[in-house]
Amino acid sequence: MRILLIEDEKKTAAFLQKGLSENGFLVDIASDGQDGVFQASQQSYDLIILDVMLPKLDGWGVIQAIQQVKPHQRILFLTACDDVEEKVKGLTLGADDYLIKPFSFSELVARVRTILRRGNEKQMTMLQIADLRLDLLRRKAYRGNKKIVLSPKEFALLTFFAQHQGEVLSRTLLAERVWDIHFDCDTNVVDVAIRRLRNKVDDGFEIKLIHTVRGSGYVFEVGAENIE
Amino acid sequence: MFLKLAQKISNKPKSITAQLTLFYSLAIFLILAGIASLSYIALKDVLFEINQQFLLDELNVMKSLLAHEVGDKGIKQEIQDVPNLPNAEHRVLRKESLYRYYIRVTNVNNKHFLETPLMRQRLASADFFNQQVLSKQSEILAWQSPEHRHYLLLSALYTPPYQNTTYLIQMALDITQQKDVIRECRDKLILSLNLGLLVAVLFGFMIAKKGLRNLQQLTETTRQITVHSLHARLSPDAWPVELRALGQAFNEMLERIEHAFHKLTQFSSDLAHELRTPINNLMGVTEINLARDLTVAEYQAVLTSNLEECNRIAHIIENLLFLARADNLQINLQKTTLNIFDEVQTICEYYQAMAEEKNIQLHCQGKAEAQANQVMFRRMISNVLSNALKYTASGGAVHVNIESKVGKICLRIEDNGCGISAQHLPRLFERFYRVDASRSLDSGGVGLGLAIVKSIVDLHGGQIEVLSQAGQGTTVVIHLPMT
Repeated sequence: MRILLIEDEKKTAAFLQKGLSENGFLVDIASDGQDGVFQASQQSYDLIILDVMLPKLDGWGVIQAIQQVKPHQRILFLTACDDVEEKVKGLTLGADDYLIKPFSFSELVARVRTILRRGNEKQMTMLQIADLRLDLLRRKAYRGNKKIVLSPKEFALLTFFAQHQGEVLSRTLLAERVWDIHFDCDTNVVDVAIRRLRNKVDDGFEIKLIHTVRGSGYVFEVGAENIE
Repeated sequence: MFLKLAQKISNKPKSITAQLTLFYSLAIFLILAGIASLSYIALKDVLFEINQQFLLDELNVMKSLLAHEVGDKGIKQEIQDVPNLPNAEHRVLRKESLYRYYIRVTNVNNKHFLETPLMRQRLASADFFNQQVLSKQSEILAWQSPEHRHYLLLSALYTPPYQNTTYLIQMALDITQQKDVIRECRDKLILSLNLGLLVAVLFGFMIAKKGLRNLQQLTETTRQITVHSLHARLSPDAWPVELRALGQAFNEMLERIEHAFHKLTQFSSDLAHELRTPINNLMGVTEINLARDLTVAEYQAVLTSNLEECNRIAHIIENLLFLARADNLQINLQKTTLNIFDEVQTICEYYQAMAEEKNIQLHCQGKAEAQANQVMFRRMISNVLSNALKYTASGGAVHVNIESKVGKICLRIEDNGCGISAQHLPRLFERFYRVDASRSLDSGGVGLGLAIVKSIVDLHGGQIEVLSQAGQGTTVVIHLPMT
């Protein structure tokens, strides 16, 4: 997966490149708007991540220019301004998603994966990870032959985990996707909910599925140790 | 062309003083001119009436004399015994007598006539004796002699009863003096009109200047206001009523600006203060750990701690920015119609795990619909619920009651937790105010939750109230308008 990162702040660009590379992406960097548009039109990228505040040509200009050459290009923009109008402007111009600075890196990776998966998602009725089976139609969960009794929200949380295996999911992202909470609030609640889910899903089983990534969030996968 | 010019002039900003003076003077002028012309016309009318009456009376006297056949002697006595005009006039006209009026009585049959002395000379050139004049008998005519004397002329034919003689009675009334009086009166009226106008312009100008002098003070005060002297105020109590309102409004504006500025200053210092703690932690932890060799696990612990502090800073910034924007009303409230129960239920579901963990009953009941910004509404409920859960002990209960009243909805979030003592209640909505600083820090709050709730309620035009007693639980009551 190739990503073009258009960002003039060298430090930001460097850590994003490092982080994204470690997550298996190939990252090219453009340090201003014009350069960004040039690279985007010359080569093929799966996703473009761009800062709105750019020298020479600002983010909006870049989005418009790229849209003219490649109307289906996927774009995620980063902004330091969390004005509703700013967000609406970006999305109207044709960007797929946005993130407000400061953002957590795991948040960025989660959103990048979501955008890249868009359109390829299959409608699944059953999910199986190790001995965990999720019946999405009947909304029932089993571990081996044992039925696990979950509340609707717990089931939704487990499904979201199962659909994002191996990805570090931040508390903010979980609150947003599972509980529909789109604002800054007490995220201890997410920890409590996950602790309770873990008690039901992992307690008493050999293979642990839900793991804490300290400082970042949670990851759902088979066999990894808790990164405490 | 002229229209354009007129437009240009009317579009030009005008001086209030000039306008006031102009209209004031114009009004005074019109009033004076009205009075003057009315009195002038009245004077003229009265004098004419008197003259006419005089002539008709004299005619009747003559008729009566003729009817009683007093003879030439009797008539002569009447027509020659005419009062002179005041002496002053004599000198002007070569010391000749000027009679007040002249009468001639002519016997039509034998052309014999009697007349007031000098009548022939004075009225020689008048068309007094020709047919035309005669035909217009009993009609009063004005005539000016070559000597510039003014007369009123009246002629009448008369046949006394039981006589077969017809007489022609001709009369001339000298009104030169009256004409002079009228002219003099007119001149004086015009003069006083002009003087009046001048006085009016002067007074108008003075009144306007005096009235607008307070504007000068306003200008000066405005000029002096800087961020350091926002406390300056006008003293409009001594001002005229019309300007007092402006002065008061201006003072109120200063009040608001001062208040807002104070809040802004407070905000900046709060921000600096609040950021100090996490940044201090970051610096300290990083510095100490850089000074020695660490194991990978230790590094991870340090970085994790730093990340937590960073998250905390991000959290503070997000909340403060929200408040700052709400203060400046920069938030574009995109209201939608919300099913309040569903919205509250969504938030309750989010906190359900937490409530169950603490063994607290969390319930929501009632229904209502209202127009509000969805994200803000949820954020408001979430902040209040988060507090309620935080300060309620295990085994307690938190209830949300939704009620729909006339034009507004009422939300009661009630807990049976530890309550808040009275001294804290008035300051609850202040930024960074914590009832118990250590505990709040412990539970991850930064003391902005209720301040945000308050600004969301304010943005929606609602009211919020906190009822509480230490040890007896807390009830937060929120009223929001439905639209």
